[in-house]
Amino acid sequence: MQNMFTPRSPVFVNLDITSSCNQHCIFCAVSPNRNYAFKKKEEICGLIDKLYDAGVFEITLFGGEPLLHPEIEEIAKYTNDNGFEINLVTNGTFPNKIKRIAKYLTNASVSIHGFNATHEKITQLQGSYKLAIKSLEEFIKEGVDTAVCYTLIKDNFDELEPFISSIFSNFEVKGVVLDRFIPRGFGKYKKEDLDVGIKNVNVALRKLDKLSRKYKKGITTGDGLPLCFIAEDLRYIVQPCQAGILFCSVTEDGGVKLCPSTETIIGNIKNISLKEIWNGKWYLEYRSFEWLPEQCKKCSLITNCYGGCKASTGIEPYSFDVYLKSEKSGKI
Amino acid sequence: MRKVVKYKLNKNVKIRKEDDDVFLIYVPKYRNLLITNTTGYEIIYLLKEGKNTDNILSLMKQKYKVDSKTLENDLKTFLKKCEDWYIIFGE
Repeated sequence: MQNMFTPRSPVFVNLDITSSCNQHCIFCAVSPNRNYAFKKKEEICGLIDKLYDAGVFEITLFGGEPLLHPEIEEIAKYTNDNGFEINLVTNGTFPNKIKRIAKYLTNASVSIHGFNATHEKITQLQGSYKLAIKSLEEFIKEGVDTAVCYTLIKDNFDELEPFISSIFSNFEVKGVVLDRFIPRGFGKYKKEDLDVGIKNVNVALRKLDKLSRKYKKGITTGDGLPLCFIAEDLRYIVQPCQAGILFCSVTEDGGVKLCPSTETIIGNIKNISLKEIWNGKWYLEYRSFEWLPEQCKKCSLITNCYGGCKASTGIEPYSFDVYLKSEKSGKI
Repeated sequence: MRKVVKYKLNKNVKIRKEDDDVFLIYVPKYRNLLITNTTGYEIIYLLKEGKNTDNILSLMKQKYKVDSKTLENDLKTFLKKCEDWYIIFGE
């Protein structure tokens, strides 16, 4: 394995400010609830203080659906007042809340998974498409750098090109984030039904590459992918999985996880500092990457890939990418 | 004749001291993370104070016993990287 630099604490953190969501997306790897029981802002701000102490630069407000939280404005303000850059990942069903929080945000990502019928078939919430589009408009109007998150599954594979083309031509978005299907949460037993497979991921990236050049918009992936399975000229799109390298996820209870899609709680920042957790045995073992297959350990792409998505097999606490397990034929 | 350039530091850049001689310079919008040493940090600090390349070179010459040519080349390489990573912008 090549030497890789790991900072002494995470650079950016996903903070799940609620585990509730008003949608029930068929693929959702997080499986949020509908309890609508929220932690008080003082508790969330206490977690933000811990992240501040650890030297974290950037917080992604995540969930569940973060805009469901009744004190989202106060939380966003507190995060901003403490000097963090803030990203917000939302399903876009609360456009009326955007004006009040936009000034605190660096970036926003609105999840829209296709045109009206497809999107609502996926979210299982009638009216969610119009609201998401309205949210997109609101963020842009408020001057927030905004992207659309599109989770690629069999249901919306054919719509990717016309839908993103329509987004790029009608909205001043900065770009698109392509998420992959991860068989966890609501999607746990749906791999056969929903996963498009690595070949089609390449097809999708090729389409996005074309659209990005045409409309001069940004494109990236939200999750890691094994680069050896991605066509060489498309690898620039793929964002490496930086879980455990630069990034971790923190639950509303203070639990530290490898990423939002995994379940294992590595430690709790209410009891022990994030730096201690980050530099503890669990993470050191993870960062040894001894658990990667031999082909990865020898691969020159490893520091841009880290073995793809660690959550993609559904195995806890982590494993190398599911495509490395299933697509034995090898490199593209 | 050497071109004197003044750079502007990206106001969104975040800096963290990581170790005795390790600094992290982070650009949130692009998630660019530059790992640099004390000298790199000093250059960033001087740019933040509004110093141009000539000011920086003369300060560095006083501090480090390196020949001018090497110093100039090293500074140029470092600033080019910072510019490519959106840490600084040429004025």
